[in-house]
Amino acid sequence: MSTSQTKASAPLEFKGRMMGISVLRISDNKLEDLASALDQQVNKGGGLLRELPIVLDLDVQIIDIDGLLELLRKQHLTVLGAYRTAASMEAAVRRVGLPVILERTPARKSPEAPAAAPVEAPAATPAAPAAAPVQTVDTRLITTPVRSGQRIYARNSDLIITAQVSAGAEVIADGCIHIYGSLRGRALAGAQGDEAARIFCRDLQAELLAIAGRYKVADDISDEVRGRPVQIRLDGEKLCVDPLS
Amino acid sequence: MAKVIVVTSGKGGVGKTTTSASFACGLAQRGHKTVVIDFDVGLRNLDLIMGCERRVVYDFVNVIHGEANLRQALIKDKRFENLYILAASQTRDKDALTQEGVQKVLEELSKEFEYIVCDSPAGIEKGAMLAMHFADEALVVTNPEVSSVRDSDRVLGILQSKTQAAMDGKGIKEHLVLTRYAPKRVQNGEMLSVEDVMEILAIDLLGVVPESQSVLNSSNAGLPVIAEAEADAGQAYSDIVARFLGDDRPMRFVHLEKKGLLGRIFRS
Repeated sequence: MSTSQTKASAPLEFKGRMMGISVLRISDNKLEDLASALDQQVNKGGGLLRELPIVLDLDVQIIDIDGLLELLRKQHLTVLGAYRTAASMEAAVRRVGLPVILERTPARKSPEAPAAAPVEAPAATPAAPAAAPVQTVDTRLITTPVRSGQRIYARNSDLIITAQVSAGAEVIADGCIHIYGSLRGRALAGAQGDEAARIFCRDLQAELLAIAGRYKVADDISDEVRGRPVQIRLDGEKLCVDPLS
Repeated sequence: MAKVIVVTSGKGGVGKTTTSASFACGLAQRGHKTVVIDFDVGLRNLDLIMGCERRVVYDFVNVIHGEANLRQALIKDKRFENLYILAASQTRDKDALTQEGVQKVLEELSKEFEYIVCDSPAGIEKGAMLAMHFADEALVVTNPEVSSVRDSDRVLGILQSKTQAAMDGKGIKEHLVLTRYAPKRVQNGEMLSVEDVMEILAIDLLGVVPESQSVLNSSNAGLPVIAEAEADAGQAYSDIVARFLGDDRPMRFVHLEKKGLLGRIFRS
């Protein structure tokens, strides 16, 4: 019996838990433009974006931070902090009580000199997660079955699973997902918007497949590919399931 | 040091208590000093299945709260020499159990017993979590139907992440016990087959217990079904105990019985 020590007695505990937090990149400082774009995105997302935890990526030199927060609050988004904040914005961010999240490893080279015109052409979808900055070089390896109710998130990396993913389980990666057992649960690749991410699996019986936010539920998956080795990729807006020969 | 075995399933009514009773009884029959603990505080059943309901004075919760000592609460089985029962309390709820309390009781029991069998309540709430927390091995009881299999899968995930053995990095050894199995219904496609269940759960199969009238009869009689040598379910549990202890026994009750010579001649 393994009763030598009990962890329950510790009054607090740091847990390395991964949580799904979206990054909202703001690349325009005109509040009206942001308001309408945000409105559009939130409507498109149905109720899914409600209470969505987000971190702000302020890609602007100056913005009315109070106005922005008010805007986000109206759309019921939960702002947890700001990261990659321009030096000119840091004081303002701290003033409104938002934590400034410093990026730790790996040190990314700073965005090219932002001295030039900070306001590009107003982006059509400012709320779309930034595709470029996520580097997917790391790999997370899982060798035991992922059971119903379990959730694995490979942040900034690919995910390789050599066992099965049970129905009711969820595997998520910012990069590609490879599954060598049966996939019966949900698999979401390119979770931060990497449209080049793919899902590979040896036996497709998934409940849901998604790449960069585009998804297919079990009902949309044709019987021809069910139970077969496949790769799933994004072709424009369409999620393609191709058999692997 | 005793080996702690949790009998769990997630879903209710699949045969956890029946399995706990017969498994503990089988270990005792083979000469191992065994105690079986009912963790289903508030809905106790084990004492009925074991036929000792009239002799319960103190229970598990009394021991945890220091209102009685273990010696007073342990009920010695009248039929099997090495078998003891620790009943659950019917009047309390699961909050009466604490992790420290359970740990203390298990530590004390493990000085004296070879095997401690923990009969888990259904669900994945406190009672079930505590029943599995200190386990070294687990019997996952599953019926051949989809909801039971999914719940077992969930429980397997919890066994691998939330138990003490998992947190210590040792891991828990899991065994599948497939109960209420009816080969005829499998053949007719009304029930998942052994192969289906094993493919989904991906753990070792310890044994298959056939759907049998004898289980209900022996429950009502307060005698673990393993004690009925004639009953098919009893034989299945004997095989399970034997395999658990390292014997090599062929799987029985998986396929339809072949008709005998006479049966074949007179087949219409």
